[in-house]
Amino acid sequence: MNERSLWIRIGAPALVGALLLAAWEAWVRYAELPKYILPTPSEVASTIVAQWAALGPAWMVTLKTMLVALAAAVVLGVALAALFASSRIVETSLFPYAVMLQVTPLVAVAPFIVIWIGWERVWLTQLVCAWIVAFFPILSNTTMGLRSVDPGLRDLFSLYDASRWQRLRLLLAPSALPYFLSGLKISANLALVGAVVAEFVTGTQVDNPGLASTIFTSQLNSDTPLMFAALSLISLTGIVTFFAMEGLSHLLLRRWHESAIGER
Amino acid sequence: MKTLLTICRAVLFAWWAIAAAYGADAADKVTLATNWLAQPELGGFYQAVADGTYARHGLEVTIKPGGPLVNNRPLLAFGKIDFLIGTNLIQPFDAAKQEIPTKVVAAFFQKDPQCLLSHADGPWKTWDDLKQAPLLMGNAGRQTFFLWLHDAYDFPRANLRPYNHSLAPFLNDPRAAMQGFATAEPERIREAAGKEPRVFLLADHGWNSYSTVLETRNDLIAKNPDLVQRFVDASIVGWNTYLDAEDTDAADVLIKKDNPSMTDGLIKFSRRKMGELELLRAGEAKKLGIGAIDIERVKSFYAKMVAAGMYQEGEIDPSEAVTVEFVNKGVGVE
Repeated sequence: MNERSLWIRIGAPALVGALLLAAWEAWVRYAELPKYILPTPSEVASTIVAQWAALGPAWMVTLKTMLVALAAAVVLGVALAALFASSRIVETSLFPYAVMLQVTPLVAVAPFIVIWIGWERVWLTQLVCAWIVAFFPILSNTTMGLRSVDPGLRDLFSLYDASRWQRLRLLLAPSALPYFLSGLKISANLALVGAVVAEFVTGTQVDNPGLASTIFTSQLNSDTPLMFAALSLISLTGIVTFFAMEGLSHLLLRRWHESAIGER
Repeated sequence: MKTLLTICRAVLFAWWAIAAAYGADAADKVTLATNWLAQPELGGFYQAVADGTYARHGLEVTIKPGGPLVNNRPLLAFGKIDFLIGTNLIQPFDAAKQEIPTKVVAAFFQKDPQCLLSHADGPWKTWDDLKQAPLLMGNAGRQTFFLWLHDAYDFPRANLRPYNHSLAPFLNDPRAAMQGFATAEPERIREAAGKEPRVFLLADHGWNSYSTVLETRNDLIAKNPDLVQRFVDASIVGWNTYLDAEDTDAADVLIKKDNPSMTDGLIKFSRRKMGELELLRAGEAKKLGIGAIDIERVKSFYAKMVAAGMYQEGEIDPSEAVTVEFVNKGVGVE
């Protein structure tokens, strides 16, 4: 990425953000909307500062759930993808169940996940819930990637009698990598959504409440500025994660993959 | 002859015009949003719709039910609805704290049906025993009455377990305790497990919040107090009918229409419990009528919530969260 495109990457969305926030601030002030209906961005910002003692630790709790769930989604998603790619029969027999897991509303099954895992282990329950939300794109994309190996190259590897390891490292991994990364981009923020939703549906961890708890409490107390403060931390996390995944993707693909080469 | 016909026409037209005009503003259209799915605990309001009590008070009432994950509260401040049923006094206190211009105008349940439940055959036989039980409690309970349980009775935080309105986790563990409504969950549990659980009413242990409180906007109180008064009075009449009438089918049909999971068994149980526990006609409501509000009691409840850490001392004036302008008038008292 050269300097100019970097500026556009950061500057353009930042400009849009600044304009939107300014319009929001102006409109709320002009319409004289009370803060319990819609707070201004500046009220939200000052709430974040004023309530940081509660918001900061809650943010860390949600972040931790998100990151561990994402790690689990990567490990189990890739492992399952490898299993699926190894045989058509395995893939056809198991994929419907992966889809089932993906579309089942978490709200419906959460009480039972709580029982199955044990209600003392609230964090583990939340982790499993967030993982369920996050793992599917990685599984689906990586499976696709592993299946997309160039047949010519596959024959070439057979011809030269390549070992399984060589096949994996030099053929399968590079072919699947771009697919995996685009799955990861989706999964990373799904893990965030999952972490928040999981906390809503399982009840908060008593001693370490996360941001969902803040949102719930602020809603209950009609404290709209605090709710927006929690929401903006979640948004911030999502944006940072998105750019981090873009960066990672660029770093890994820039030397050779068509999707990244063009941006030099 | 022709003139007579013209006169007749004119008279008829005038009569029609007056009737139409009268009909048009005869009934004020108002919307009541509730805090839960349609259920007998909201039966008086459905009764007043069903038997025409609201209509006789010049009101055309639409009920907008709440439910899990439904939050009707912002609609009140925003003016999309005119009346809201609140669960207890905490959210009205919050409204005062956040300077949201709404107020409680009537308190239908003098005793909060909120209770803790333990298994009939389980180890927890007394209120004090419950402190040892894994306690299934949802987010709202944790942020409100659990804080009080913790402050006033040392219920440990570590015992809290998640609750999502499913009975399964409770039924699965004989040592569990859970939150519930004394008018509903005991019967749901009996239907599922065969035995009614032990019931511990928070109200019997000092939780003196009103429940099923009616809230409205301050500007409606200021601009149209007559409408508010008619709504309160008609609701009180509806509740008296719902509690006393042999036959409440008309209201129950509406309840079942809005909430198809409601059964006749649950309705019967709930109506019986509301009577037995004197939820609506406890204390001064016997003399002053259903909906009665005592400012001293509101202040006393606020003091308890301050002790529980929910508010700062003097943060709000709790008497500003309610008004006694529309109740304590003996409506419906024989």
